Amino acid sequence: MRTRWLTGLLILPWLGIVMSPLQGLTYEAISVSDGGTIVGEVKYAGDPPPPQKIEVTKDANICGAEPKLSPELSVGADKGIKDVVASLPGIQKGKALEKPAKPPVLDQKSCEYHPYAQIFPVNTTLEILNSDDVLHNVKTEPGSKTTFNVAQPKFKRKITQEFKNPEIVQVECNVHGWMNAILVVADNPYYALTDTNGSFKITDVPPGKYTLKVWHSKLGEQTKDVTVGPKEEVKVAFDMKAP
Amino acid sequence: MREILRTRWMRAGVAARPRWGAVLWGVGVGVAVATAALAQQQRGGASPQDLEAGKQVYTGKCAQCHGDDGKGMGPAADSVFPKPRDFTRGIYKIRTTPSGAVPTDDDLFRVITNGLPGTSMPGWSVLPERDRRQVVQYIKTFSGAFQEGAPTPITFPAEVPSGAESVARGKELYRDAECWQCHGDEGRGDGPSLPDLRDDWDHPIWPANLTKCWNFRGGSTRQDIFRAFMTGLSGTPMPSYADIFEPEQAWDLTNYVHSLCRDRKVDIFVRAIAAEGDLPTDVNDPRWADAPAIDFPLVGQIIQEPRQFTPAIDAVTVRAMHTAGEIALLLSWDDRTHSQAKPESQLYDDAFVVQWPVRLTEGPEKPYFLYGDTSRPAYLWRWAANAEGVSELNATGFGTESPQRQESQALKGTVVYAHGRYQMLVRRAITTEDKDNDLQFEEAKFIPIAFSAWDGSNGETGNKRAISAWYFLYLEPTPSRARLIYPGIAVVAIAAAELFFSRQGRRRRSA
Repeated sequence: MRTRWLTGLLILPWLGIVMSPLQGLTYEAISVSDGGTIVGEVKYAGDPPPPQKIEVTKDANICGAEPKLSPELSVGADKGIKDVVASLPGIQKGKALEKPAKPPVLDQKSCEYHPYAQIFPVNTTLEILNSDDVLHNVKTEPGSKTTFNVAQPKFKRKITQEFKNPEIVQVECNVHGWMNAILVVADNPYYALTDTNGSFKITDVPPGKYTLKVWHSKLGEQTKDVTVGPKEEVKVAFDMKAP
Repeated sequence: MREILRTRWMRAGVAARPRWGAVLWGVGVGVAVATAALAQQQRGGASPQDLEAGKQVYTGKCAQCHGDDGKGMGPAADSVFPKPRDFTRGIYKIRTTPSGAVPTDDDLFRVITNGLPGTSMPGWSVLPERDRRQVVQYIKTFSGAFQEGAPTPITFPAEVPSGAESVARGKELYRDAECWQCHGDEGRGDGPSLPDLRDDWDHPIWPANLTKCWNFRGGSTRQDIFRAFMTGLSGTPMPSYADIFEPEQAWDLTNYVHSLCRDRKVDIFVRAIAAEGDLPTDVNDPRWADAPAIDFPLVGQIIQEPRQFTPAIDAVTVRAMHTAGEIALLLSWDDRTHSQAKPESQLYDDAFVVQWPVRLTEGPEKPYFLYGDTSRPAYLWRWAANAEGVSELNATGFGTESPQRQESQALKGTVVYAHGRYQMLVRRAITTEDKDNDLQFEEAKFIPIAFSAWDGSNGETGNKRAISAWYFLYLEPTPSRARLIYPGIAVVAIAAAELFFSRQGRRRRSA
């Protein structure tokens, strides 16, 4: 009996070593009753470049003949930047990461992705719709761990794709080179996108010290240390500009 | 942890031999084996010896293009198109695994063994199989993407045999699934998406020309074609259609794509057939089908500066026919774009030259193949996208080309561009007055012929061009009057002889 016991003891630490890489991935859900709120604002530093126009070079009968406004850098009247991703990358504990009630959707309509940017939890299946009477392909841009490139002819209205790695995935269409979208695959619920005024809000943050990160596909990323007190509202401002 | 383990092991071993020692031995060895196995798995199942041997092979055979660090930037990388694979991203075009997945060991082994047609990647079947297997293991170490191993390969459902009906259904799918957006409506890779296409390394990339299946990177069998669009070509705009088609549809499309591949006949000469009446004046004249079509390969001009290592036009197909007085050539070459020079961009004129010697010699001497030399001048037929028709020039080396005088220009040329292909029809009299500058064609002789081609959208102009070696044109003898005279003479002669002998015989009998 003692031998078995010792055997178990000897093997345990090795199991620990083997499993250790998986530990970093786990996010622990706890009940948050006295959580604070981070309210942020991301503005363009200096004069923003004029909105970029996209000439529709093909399939104008479906995509529309008028030039499109690029969603990649959208700066509002008061210089607020839309679709900046705000997150607390190091957070280990907090409110539960809930599965969305309905599967997230990426719609291809008039040769544009709707929405341009969205957040959904890891291990979620995304519904990709083709509302256009034309071929699209949905291809990940280089840089993400998740890679795929799938065709979606006009007769295939819906395909699905699961996302197993927490990361930001950018997708593009090669048939219509101007199309691109941002998918934020979250491993915790503390992610937010800025609205047209450049504002975001992260709620129910357990009191503590955090690194707050903002990321934009064209403007790079910035971080700030924030301390959140119980039921406190912390205001944070970022200025971003093209590198 | 190791320290604790060793201490306990030693202590226990000393205290309680032999029972404890045996147990600890077992556990220790077990753990060691498990650890080694785990480490090996993380390296992709290869032993350190295999990896070292693979590295030796890699350094000797692969690093020249793919680089010591596997990033595809070896010393020769600048001279090749498509660019060598960057192994560090773990992205591979030719796989049996789903879109986004790493290839299997066997996938990599097949590519190394067979090479990639239409690229600079040769097949390495000359290497022993063990070397190729070892280099597969070594290549996998460049990317972390292989750590989780390759997923299960796709399956090949029951085939739909190729036939007119399946091909017709496949043609509809090609239209409805909009394969033509990239590959063009006749499959020459000239679809409307072409200008935007780039690969994951931001290099421009061309859709496959489906009429030239011998260039398909992953091979040209029906299984290869099926696999290519079911798995997609990772890192390129070619997506996976795995969840789009039913198996029967996928085979129908396979059969259609397979049917687009044209018959290719490569030879060192093309036969100009002797024709009756007028020669065709239209590239689409059905009589061209009677003339044998020969493909002559073109390669980049890399002898004189500026060199062109990565030409876009890789062959010209030539048909020819002639009468006693006139010759007509139909030349066709695939080019994904029709380009005309624009001063503000790097766009040049598409152009084509047929090169001849000015004079035919009895011996093997020919002018220098890059537009001749001072002792043996070249005679050129030149077309360019900015000019009307085809004109005659002479040259004694590159840079010396000079157009012939207007009154000596004797070519009737038309050039048509459609569906990713140029067709150039040129006619000329067999003999001309300008005997100093024009080649005088002769029947039943091997007449040297060579070609130059420029794809203006590929930065080709001047000496940056695709060229051929000297090949030959052979004019079949025209049916002449001699054909009728000699049998006539023979008939008369035989009749006369018979008459003579029969009279002689009669005389003898009567005598």
